[in-house]
Amino acid sequence: MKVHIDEDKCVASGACVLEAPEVFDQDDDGIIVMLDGQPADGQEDAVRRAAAVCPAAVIRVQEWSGEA
Amino acid sequence: MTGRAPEQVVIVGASAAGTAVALHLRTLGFPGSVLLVGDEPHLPYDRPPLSKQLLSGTWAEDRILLASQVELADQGIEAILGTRAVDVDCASRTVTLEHGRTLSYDALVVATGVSARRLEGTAGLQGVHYLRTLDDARTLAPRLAPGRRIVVVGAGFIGLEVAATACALGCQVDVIEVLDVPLSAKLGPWVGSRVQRLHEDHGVRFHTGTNVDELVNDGVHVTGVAIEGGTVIAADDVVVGVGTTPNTQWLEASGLPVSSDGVMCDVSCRVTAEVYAAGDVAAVLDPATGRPMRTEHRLNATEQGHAVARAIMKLGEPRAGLPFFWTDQYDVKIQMFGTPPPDAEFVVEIEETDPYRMVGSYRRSDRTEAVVGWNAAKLLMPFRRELLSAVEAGASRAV
Repeated sequence: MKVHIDEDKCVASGACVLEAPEVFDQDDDGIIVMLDGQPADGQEDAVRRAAAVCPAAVIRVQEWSGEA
Repeated sequence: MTGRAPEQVVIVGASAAGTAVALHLRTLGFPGSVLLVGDEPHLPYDRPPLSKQLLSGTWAEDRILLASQVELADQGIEAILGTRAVDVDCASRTVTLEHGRTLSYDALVVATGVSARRLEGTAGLQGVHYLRTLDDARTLAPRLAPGRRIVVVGAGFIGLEVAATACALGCQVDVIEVLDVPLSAKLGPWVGSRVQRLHEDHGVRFHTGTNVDELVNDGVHVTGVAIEGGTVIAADDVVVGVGTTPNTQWLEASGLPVSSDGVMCDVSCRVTAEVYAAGDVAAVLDPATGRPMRTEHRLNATEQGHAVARAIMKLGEPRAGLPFFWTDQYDVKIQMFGTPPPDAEFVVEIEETDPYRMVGSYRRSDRTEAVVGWNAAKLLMPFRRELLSAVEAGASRAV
């Protein structure tokens, strides 16, 4: 899995940090910081949840399998 | 639907909530057909940037898309756009669209959102704007040029965000508000006054505690706004943000439980065994008070969309969430978690200067019911975690 983020769209809800604290953090203004763009297998569900719950569609998940 | 999994899901409303249902159904592995019906001609897009990045022109329109044509196709979601649903027949389980096409459903999702409430007597008057849709933003954006006189009626979130954007673009901005302190009904007077001061520091003039008497016009175009006491504020354009009306008219003959409050549903967003509601239009009956509550916040649309997808897939109850909203005005981001009760006591928990940051809590009988942050997204996190644990503890007690 590879994770892409678009920081400019971030509204600092912090939802991603609650879902996947080992993959995402926030700077002092609350804007998303990616800690690990290629998260380990154990993190993948949390990352997918973070992407789904983000209120600004900042996080895009690219699965390794398939045409990606 | 007696135990049988639905095969055909029809979602009416192609904005944040409806799109979240469609995409989440596929994430959960739903194999049946998903139809997403929207009355606007555009692909699903996100509304919060309309009053900010779209209006100021800092973002191109494609940045607010919630799903591209390719994504919808990849996910096997059939989008029927630019088409209004006009009726539902719950007995035959069909939705009728405006041009006569009917869609059969096993599960129907009502996600038709809300419309901006119209100010009486403004129909047909040029220069009077509302901001709910991409088309509204397209019409308003070119009017916000340097030196233009913009009067904003209603100092809610939309009105204040438009005021901030217009001000940053060099407009001369007046704001008219019925409350004595803007946002005080939702955020309390402490935060409300601070927001007003923020705008005043940027040159916005406030006329608070007053109603609009009439929109002065030359027969074609608005020229000003008359407020109580006879003062007329000259205007090149007027932007009205005085609340919303749930889009339930199309359901009036359906027999579904709708009212001016929205579509009544339970905490799992279930209206009937086959019908669900999500987003701004959904009036969730509070199990404690029995009162319907609609939540017009962006994150709520996503969360309810996910809850509906789970319910359709029979995957059990949603997790307890925390109400959240944010507003961006100038370089300030205000965020709130939880819902402050009207009689809450406001306590400043953290205050830092340079840059100014603040966290405040809303307490009632020694319990924190909500927290608010002013440019303090990260400082808020521990408070938010604590609130969330309290909500989760409450939810597990209730089970």
